[in-house]
Amino acid sequence: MHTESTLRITAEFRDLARIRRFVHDAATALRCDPSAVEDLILAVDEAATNIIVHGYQCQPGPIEIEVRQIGDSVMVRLRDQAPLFDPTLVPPPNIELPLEQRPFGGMGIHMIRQVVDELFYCATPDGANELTLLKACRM
Amino acid sequence: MHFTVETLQARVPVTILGLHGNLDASNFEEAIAKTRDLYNAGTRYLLLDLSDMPFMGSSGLVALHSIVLLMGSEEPPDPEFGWQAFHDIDRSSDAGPSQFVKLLSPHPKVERTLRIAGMIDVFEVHTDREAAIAAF
Repeated sequence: MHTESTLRITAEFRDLARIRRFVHDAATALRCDPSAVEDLILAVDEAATNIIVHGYQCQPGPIEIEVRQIGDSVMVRLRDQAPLFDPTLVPPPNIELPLEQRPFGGMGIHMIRQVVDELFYCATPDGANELTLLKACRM
Repeated sequence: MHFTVETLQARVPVTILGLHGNLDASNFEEAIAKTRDLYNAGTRYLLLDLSDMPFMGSSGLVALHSIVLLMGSEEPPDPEFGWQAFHDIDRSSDAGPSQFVKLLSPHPKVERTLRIAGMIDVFEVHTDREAAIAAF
């Protein structure tokens, strides 16, 4: 049975579609329910976009995405070599403000928090950023 | 992503901009640029047909936010100055531009993204094209 899958790419914006396809295929192979698969796709797209935009300053950079089953959940782990940054420390945006008074952007980590069950960050011993998403799935 | 444009005369002239494909960080600027072109060509009432847009991330939210500003005669930050320009802008206008932009048939996943971001109530959302056009 397929229990783990890893994508290693030098990511640019144009690779986001490929990343979404990878997450779809890997999570579906784990028999994750379609609703949870869609949530994982959105979360990983946001995380990868943040890495490319903020980590690599819109330049191509290496991203490793690992999808595996942990009990009744699917875990997605993203690693990148950008300067260390913990996105889980970003405060939530105020989505109650009228649109005209809201700052642009800054929604990525909020979106991730809303669609996954657990979110962890660590800096690896070799200096990489590692963001782990956990999503319960009906397998 | 590609776009379709149709203009109909209702109570006011309404331009229907169809967004076809996924809207993400790779192409959200195209949607802004397309809207800017339409505004410069005279469009003042815009119906965004999202029925063929199965995915939208937070970059798409930036695009929608920019489109609302453009159609309300405000200039969004220039993407050439980078994403930080979007993050830094301090909005202070009290204008309510959403009367100029309405949404048609967003995919459930896209509607959910709008809901999570707290943007679903900013727009009138229609599922019937004729009713949407008549709502302007």
